[in-house]
Amino acid sequence: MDSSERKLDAAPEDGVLTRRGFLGMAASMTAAATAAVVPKLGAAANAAANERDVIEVAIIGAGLAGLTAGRDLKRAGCESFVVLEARGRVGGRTLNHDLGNGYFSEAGGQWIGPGQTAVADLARELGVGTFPTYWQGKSTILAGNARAAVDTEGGFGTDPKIAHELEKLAQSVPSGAPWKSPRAAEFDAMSVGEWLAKKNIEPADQVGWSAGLAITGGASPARLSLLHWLSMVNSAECNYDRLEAVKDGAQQTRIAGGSQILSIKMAQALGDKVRLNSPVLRIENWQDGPVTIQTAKGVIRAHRVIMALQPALCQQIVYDPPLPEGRRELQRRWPAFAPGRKTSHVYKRPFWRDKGLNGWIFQPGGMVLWAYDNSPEDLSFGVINAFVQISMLPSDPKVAEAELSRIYAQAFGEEALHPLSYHEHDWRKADPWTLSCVSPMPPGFLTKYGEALHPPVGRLIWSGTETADIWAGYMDGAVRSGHKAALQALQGIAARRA
Amino acid sequence: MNTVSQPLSRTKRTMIVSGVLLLAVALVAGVMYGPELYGMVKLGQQVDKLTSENTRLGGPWPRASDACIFCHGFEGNARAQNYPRLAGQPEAYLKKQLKAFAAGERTNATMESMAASMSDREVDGLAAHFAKMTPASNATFHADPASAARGEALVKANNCASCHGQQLEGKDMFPRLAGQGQVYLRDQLARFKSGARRDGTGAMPAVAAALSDQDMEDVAQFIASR
Repeated sequence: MDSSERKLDAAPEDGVLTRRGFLGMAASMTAAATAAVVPKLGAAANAAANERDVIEVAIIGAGLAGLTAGRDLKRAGCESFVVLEARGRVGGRTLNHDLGNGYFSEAGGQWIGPGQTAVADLARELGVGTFPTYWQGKSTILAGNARAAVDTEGGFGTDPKIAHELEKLAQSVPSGAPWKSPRAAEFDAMSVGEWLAKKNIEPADQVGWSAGLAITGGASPARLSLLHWLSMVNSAECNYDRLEAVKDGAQQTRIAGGSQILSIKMAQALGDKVRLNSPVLRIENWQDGPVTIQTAKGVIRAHRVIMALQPALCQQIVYDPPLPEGRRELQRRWPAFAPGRKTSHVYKRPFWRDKGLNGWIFQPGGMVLWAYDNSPEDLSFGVINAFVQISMLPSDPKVAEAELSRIYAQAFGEEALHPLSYHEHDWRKADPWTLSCVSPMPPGFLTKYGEALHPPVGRLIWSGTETADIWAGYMDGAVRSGHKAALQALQGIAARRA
Repeated sequence: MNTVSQPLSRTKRTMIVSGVLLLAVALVAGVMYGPELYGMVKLGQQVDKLTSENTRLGGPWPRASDACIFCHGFEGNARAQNYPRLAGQPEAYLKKQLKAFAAGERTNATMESMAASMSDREVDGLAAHFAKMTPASNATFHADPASAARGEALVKANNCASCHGQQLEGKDMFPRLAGQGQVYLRDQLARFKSGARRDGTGAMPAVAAALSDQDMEDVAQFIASR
């Protein structure tokens, strides 16, 4: 992760701290060593803050990134911080549907996979268990009134020859800073779709690529930059399956108690430092600090701010003075156009498994992008979750439930017509604090605006999964970005005390 | 930067939705017979039909208009009531809206960044495409008869047809309203009333200013069911 060092070195306010100083702190941040090494720093900071009624750090956003940052600050002995959250809950883009009796199904981000070590470590530290995503058996494909069941072996059946070509190209595209690739201009000038079209994809396979890119990348093939897509493949250590598949891929592992449990547990440990229902409206004096943060629930003053929210959400806040042009344009143009709507059908048991089916449905030309088995580990009942075309599912939940049930019946048999319950979450409708699931970067964006993604601006430290060096856009990236932001904030505190 | 690792061995992998390829693999492997094989053949035919229909309507893959399906539905006929239907909207209106989003003159977090990422050529192409699509009836909306009746009276009293057409079918800069999503219509009226959405002619803010919340609901009920 040498790119993060460069970014920190480049931050204007950090000039006083040597690279050695930063590396020393980075080493100290590993696991429990942190609290033992840095407490003196934190205690001194607390005293200063009390004197002047200015806290050391304000964190905006109580998702995985912001809460990880808060947790790290606390472990470093810094108590002078708050976590401001717009919603009435924590977890950001992770959200549990409560199925009753202590069971949950996820409405947002939910999986972890090989190489996603930051989120896996966090789960272990919090005492949260994991278990495998179910993929064994045949997947169902529906088109019109036709149905077929095929063993896709835990993957989406991507043509291995083309996947391998993408893996090769991805080697030169650093996951955290794709614009630094020697071939950045060339790759960012075209969409994944344009690149694929040159490979003479069979018409029928085009449908498969469209579905795969929509599910993993959040946009249609013509809208996704090849450079961006290669950076995602690079995150997965240039192994296409590791990015896309369930078996041996980024969708391999689930979190016991639902993925939101990670944030809930971190927030519990932070207690009243987490302030819910406190959307930030305005940020003043961000250049030199103390920064004034106006929220719907009053004013907070802080020496520095961790902006643990995606760039398009950063744009909803008013800055006085305005942010530098590069950062402003990055935020204004940041693609917030991958809204998600996820549904859960709860059944008495996962009856499809008895029929040799894995609960997966692909429906080209239909409203189901991908349905999958999201049953609890102990199989006390069966759950089918689905990513749907948000526009094609009727608004009325009763009607939506019935339409999906009929599709599931076509795939799995009549038993599917009678779910015990139905849950859905249309993220674009639910509240204004999400906007988008992943960030589907369009061609031309990263090479033009990417440079402004990482460097702090004055006292503002940019965090959130979009800023991660590895697995940006994933829960793992969120945790990584939280760790990095905490280091940057602690570095700032150290520089001020020096 | 990460280094590459050896690709996993990939044996007998199949494209999941490729009818032709699946069929070939199934036959070679000899694993399918009877109803299973029949299902595969039928699926292949359906997928082929779908791809040729998509090409006929939207041109060769990858299609720019596929970007709009998430929210606006297949061929611009969304079935959810909160996302606007684009099918049959006047080309000039669509172009104007995309340009207004790109410039930040019309605000919507999804559409501003989407429109800002489009070239003029893409904007022109998409506007022309959706103007050509046939608007389907808003079959997933079921109006409350009393509310729709009040709405009809308000639509007449405000002479909506003078700009939007006798059948509310839209023309030039004026959008098609008939069969539009009910929640979308109600939200837009509220946005015109609050000033969150502007209208150069001043007509819509003036109309919306006189409408109560119930009036807006009623008007939307009537128009959505046209």
